[in-house]
Amino acid sequence: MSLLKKYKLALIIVCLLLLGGFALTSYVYQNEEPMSEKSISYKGDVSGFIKASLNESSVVVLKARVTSVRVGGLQLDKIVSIQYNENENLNFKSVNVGDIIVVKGGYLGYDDLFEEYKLISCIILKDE
Amino acid sequence: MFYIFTLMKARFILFFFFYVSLISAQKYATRSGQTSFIGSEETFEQIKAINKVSTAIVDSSNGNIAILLFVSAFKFEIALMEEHFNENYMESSKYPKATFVGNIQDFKYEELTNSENNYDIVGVLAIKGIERSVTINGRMQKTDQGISLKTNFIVLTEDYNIKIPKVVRNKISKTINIKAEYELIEKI
Repeated sequence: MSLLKKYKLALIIVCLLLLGGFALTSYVYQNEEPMSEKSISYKGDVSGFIKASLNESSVVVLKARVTSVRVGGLQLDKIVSIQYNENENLNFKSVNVGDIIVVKGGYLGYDDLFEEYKLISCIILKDE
Repeated sequence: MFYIFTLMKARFILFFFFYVSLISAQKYATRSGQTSFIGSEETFEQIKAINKVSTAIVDSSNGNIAILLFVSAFKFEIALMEEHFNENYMESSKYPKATFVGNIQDFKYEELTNSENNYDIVGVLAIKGIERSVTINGRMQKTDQGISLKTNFIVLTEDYNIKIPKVVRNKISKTINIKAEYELIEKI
């Protein structure tokens, strides 16, 4: 094999290694899918949400009345506790007790201590 | 089958009596407690996560304490790590919750001050459906809004049937360092 061919082969191997490394890094460091783009397992009101047998980590969209406003979260219909991320602060800032809102979030499960259902990473849907 | 039924009954009774005792007592609680862990050796990417929605209730009349956290609420910097944590190690769809029910030894609310005091907290820690008696050290102090509780303790992966594959055994530690910080406010 001529020296030129050897260089070409080495170059191809290096390129393949670089591509492989890039693909692996992209796979490992891929970002979590934003809540706005996650597929929905349940959409509706709170009574239907409670009756639906949802798995933990299901994504739900709820239309409900705000019954309490807390730091970083809200209570809906007195039975659902939702928490939102810091970057959602602005959207939730204008929400008051009594408002009817539509939120999308990840269902965690039933909290036995507070006797309420928990949603996290919630966002407000404005176009509902 | 009988064993499972007995275990479930015991857990129900434990929770029931704890809950009933809390109803009539002065309680301090949080829905946004922070529980974090570091579970790796010195590797390129440290395995660490934080759960910012841990719930905790303390009965100030007798020092009873209950903590509940959803395993899938632990957030990692790397999404793939989070996926592996939930699916392979913690099986969070099968065991969604981790709980601690116990008592803060020699706890007297009146004796709490604005500086940290150390307490032994004795109780049962349940992870992946396995319950183990533990004693952990907690640092507590009075705050403007209620009580602050902080603790650091170690959990052994083998105690809770957390299986680590051979291929990553040198990256994942057998001891998990857990840190919890709860700002409890009076529950009305």
